[in-house]
Amino acid sequence: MAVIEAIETVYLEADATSVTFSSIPTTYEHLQIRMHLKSDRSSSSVDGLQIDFNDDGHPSTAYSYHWMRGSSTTASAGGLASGRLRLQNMIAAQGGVTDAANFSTVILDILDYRNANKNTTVMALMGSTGNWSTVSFESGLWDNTDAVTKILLDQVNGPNFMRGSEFTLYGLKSS
Amino acid sequence: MAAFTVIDHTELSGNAASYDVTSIPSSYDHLYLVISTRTDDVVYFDQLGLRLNGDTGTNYSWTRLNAGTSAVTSGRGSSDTSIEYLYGATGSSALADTFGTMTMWIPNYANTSNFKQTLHQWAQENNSTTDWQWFVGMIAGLWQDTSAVDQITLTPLDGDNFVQYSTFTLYGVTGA
Repeated sequence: MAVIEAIETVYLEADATSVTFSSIPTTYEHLQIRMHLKSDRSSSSVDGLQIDFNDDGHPSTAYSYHWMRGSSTTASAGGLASGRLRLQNMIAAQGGVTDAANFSTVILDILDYRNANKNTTVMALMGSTGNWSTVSFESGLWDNTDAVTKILLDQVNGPNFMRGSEFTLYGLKSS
Repeated sequence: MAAFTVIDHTELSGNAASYDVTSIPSSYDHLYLVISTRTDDVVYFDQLGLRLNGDTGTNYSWTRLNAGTSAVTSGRGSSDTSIEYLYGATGSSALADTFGTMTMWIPNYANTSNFKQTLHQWAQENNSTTDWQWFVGMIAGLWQDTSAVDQITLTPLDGDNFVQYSTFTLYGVTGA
């Protein structure tokens, strides 16, 4: 049996407010989500990718995140504590200014997602080049030791992921 | 044939001074290690050292890119006795139950013609935005030896221990 298995792929045939992976099996050791995505935010060429675990969404303050990035010619870093989990630097439509065919790429690792003795932590590589040109390495924390059984992805501003966005959840086994 | 095979998976049932996996088969193309660890050192994040094949000589170098403040910095070290600056573990000052994350690739680990390069990404999360209470980064490492890698040892460099529930998963990766 394969050590890495595709659990589910979501390909958006139409704009969607969010994407949810639910009933995630506890038979893996680690999870990975590979994404090619774009927000329809009209007022900017960049948006945030917000992640909720197990329906712990608004008004939760159980999340923290940090990042370092190179944006055009400038490197910077930062983060937020005790709020929501928001990865930076997802490309956005900016009212059609951004090239319609240009999407961001994200590889998100969720390690030991079912270990009841650990808070859930994530690492992500994210990049896009266009109106918003950024490559970033980011991390996140959910201050909760529950096994992750549901992942909801949406935008900080949005309100939609655009048609053509694709999300695949993989499970990595340890035996 | 499966592209990924689990060579070793270890979850610590108590404290341990190191993670050491030996007799790694040479039958794969690449190695991929995923760790989720915490140490008992009284720090927010802890530095690990990587040695290959038990070599304690000054044969290791590394180049880093990282941030623990609003500034992104880089640096390097050479002629070290391990690949250092691997901040793959949280320390005991970080938020309880929070473990550090790190992934590591060793491409072409079994070839006997080239030095061994390693590539690492690590993140030390914490519910804090205070400088140096969080840390993210990446490292390129070098072992100046052409031997096939058959042993991997990760050790907290300050002499402390990995704590219970730390996990290490080593995969062998096969090409077509």
